[in-house]
Amino acid sequence: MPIVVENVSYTYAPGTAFETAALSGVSLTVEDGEFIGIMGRTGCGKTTLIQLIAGLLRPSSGRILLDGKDINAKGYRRDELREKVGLLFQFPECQLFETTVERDVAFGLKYLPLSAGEKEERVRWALEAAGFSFESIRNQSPLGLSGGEKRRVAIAGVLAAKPRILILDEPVASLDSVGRRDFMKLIRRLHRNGTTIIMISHDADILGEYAQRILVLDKGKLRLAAPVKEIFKDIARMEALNLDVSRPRKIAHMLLKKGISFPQDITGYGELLGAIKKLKEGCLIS
Amino acid sequence: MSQVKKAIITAVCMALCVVLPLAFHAVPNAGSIYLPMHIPVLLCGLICGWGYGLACGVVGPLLSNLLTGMPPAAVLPAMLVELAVYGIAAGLCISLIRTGKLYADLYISLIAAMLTGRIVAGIARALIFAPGTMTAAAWATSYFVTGLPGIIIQLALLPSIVFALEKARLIPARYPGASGSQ
Amino acid sequence: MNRIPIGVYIPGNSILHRLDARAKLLCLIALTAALIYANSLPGYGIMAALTAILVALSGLKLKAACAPVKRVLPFFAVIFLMNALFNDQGQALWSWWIFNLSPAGMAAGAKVVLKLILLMILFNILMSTTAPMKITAALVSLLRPLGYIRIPVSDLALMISVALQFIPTLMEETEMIRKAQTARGARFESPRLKEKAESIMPLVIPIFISAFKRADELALAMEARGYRGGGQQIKKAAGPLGKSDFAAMLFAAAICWLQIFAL
Repeated sequence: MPIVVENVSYTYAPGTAFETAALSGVSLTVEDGEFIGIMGRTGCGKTTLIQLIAGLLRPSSGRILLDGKDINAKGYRRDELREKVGLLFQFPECQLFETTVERDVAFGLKYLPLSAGEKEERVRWALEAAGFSFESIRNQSPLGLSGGEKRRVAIAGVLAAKPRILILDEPVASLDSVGRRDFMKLIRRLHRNGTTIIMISHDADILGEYAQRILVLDKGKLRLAAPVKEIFKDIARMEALNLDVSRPRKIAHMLLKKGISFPQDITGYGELLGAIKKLKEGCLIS
Repeated sequence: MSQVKKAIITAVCMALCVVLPLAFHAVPNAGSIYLPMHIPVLLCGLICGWGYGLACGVVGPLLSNLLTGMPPAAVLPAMLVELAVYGIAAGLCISLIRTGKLYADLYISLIAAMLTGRIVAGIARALIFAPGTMTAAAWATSYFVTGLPGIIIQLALLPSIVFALEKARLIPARYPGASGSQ
Repeated sequence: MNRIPIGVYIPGNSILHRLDARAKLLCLIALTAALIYANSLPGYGIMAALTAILVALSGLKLKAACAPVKRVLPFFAVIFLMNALFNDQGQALWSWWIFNLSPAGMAAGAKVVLKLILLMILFNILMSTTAPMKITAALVSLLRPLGYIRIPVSDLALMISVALQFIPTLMEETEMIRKAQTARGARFESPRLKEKAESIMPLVIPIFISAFKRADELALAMEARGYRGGGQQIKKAAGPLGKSDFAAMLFAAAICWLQIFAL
C-alpha cells in the first residue's frame, strides 16, 4: 500500500531567529513497487522530505500516511515504520561503528523478531548482495576497510532489514563508474523483486535510465511530479529550475536541432541506441 | 604525532566537549549519568599527552558553558578542576604504563585518572565552596560515589573509541602489529 | 534535537555591538567586581538599573536576555532555600529539626540569587553582542602578558578558534549520525536502560571518527602550508580602542569604585 504525503509543511527552528520553511504544502503519492527519482537544487527540501517519510522528522503541518495509517499519530508503532522503510543517507560509511562487519550489518536487525539463525542468514544475504564474500568479510573491522568497501558494508546494513521501501540519498555520489554501475544493478534487482525505490539524485542520467517517475522540488514546493519522459521532454523548463536532463535526452534534442527527425521522448541510453539504429536503417546518413 | 596534529586534535576534543552533551540530550537522562564532557577530555589526555589534556579539560567546559549554558555556572568551577585533573592524569598514566596490551594500558590509565580526578575535585569542592560544612573527606567520598555510574560508562566507552580510532588509522597504533590486522 | 542555534551571538548594530571586544571584556570584569561588592539597597538598585539599561542598549529582547536564567531557576531556588533555612544569625521565624527559617537568611539568599541573576544577564549580553571569534581575539590580546611565564597563549588561541569553527559542523554531523542510526533501528528514546545503553556506541563512535577525520585533514592542510605550531603569533586584527570604548571602560570602573568604596 502506498505512501501518501498530505499537504505537508516543515519549518526548522520555529519561533527563533533562525526560522526557515523547508517544505510548504507538499502532497504526493508513491505507489507500491514504483521507482521514484527526486530532483532539486541544494536546499530545496529533498532531504527534509525523505526524512519526513522515514519518520525521522515530524511535519509542522499535514500528514504522512503509510499503508493508510498516519505515521505520526499517537499509538503508531515506530518499529512498524522501521521495518518497512529503509533509508540510506549520503556518505553512509559514516554510520559504521562495530568491531566486525557482521555485527555492524546485524545492528539493524537487533530489535526484529528473528531468530539468531535467521539474522545470520539475512546478514549473509545482504553482504553478498553488496558484492562481498561473506566468509572473508564477516570478521574484519569495518573501520579499517577501503572507502568503497565501507560504503558497501553500510548499504548491506540497510538491506539486511529487507525494507519494502528503500529511500536513497545521492547513493552514487563520489563513486567511480564501476561502483556506480554495480550499485544501480543491485537497486534494479531489488526493484524487480518488488521493493519500492525512492532515490534522490542530481545525476539525471541515472534517473533517466532507471526511474519511472520524477518529483521535482524547488524552494520547498513540489513543482513537478510526472513520468520521466514527460519531465525530461521540456528541457527549457528544467533549465529554468537549474536542473539537468539526461544526456540521451540532450543528444536527441541536439539531433532534432540539426534537422534530423529524431524521437524526443528518449530518456535512457538503451532507447537512444535503439533510435539511432532505426535511423541508420531508415534514412540516409553517410 | 606532530605538534600541529596534537593541537588540532585537542581543538576537536574541545569542540566535542560542547557538542557531546547536546548529542546526549537526544537520549533522555543520559547527560547526567554518562557525564559526556569527560569523554573528549580523557581521550585528549590519552592521545596527546598531559599538557593538551589539561588545556582541553579547562577550555572544554568553559566553552560549553559560554555557548550552551551546560554545565551551569554553579557547577562549573568544580567541573573545571575535575576535568583538568582528568586530562593531566590520563596523559601522565598512559605515558608511564606499558603493559604490552592496549586495553590493559587504557583501563589502568583511565581508572587511575578518574580516581585521582574525582577525589581531587571532591577536595577542591570542599575547600572552595563550602568550608566547614562537611569534612573534606566526606565531600571527597560522596563526590566519588555519585560519579560511579559515569565512571563505569566511561570505562566501557573509551577503550572502544580508542580501538575504533586505531582501526580507522586516525591515530597511530600503540602496539603496531598487535592482535588483529590493521 | 533539531537544529539548536549555536552560541548566543545575534548579529546586530547596537552601541554595544560596536564597542571593541577587549573593552567589553574589561567592563564585564569591572562590573562583575562591582556586583560582588554591592552591599546596600541603593547599590543593588544601581546594578539592577544598569543591567536593564544594558539590555535595552544591546537590542536584545528581554525574553532572550533572561533565557539562561530560566534554565537554572530550580538551582537558584535551592540556593535561596539553603540560605533561608540554614542561616544561624538572627531570630528564627520557624524552627524544626535542623531547619531555621529566618529573615536574615532569606535576605542573604535573595541577595545571592539576585547577584547571580544579574551576572548571568551581563554575561549573556556580552555573548550576544560579540562574535565568538572577536572574544577569542580579545582574550588573546589581553592574556598576551601571560606568554612571559611560558603559557602558550597563541597556541591556545588557535585551538580555541579551531574548536569554535568545528562546533557547528560537528553538531550537524552528530544530528545526521543520530538520524542515520535511528533509521537503522537504534532506540535512543526507549525507556529501557538496556536499549538506551545499546544506542550510545552507534552514536559516539561515528561522532569521534568523523571528528578525528576532520582534524586529520585540517592538520595536513596546515602543515602543507608551513604551520609548525608553537610560538607563532596570531595576526593582530583588532585596531586601537576608540573614544566610546574608553568612555565605557571609565564608566564601568566608576561603578566598580562606587560599589566597593562608596556604597
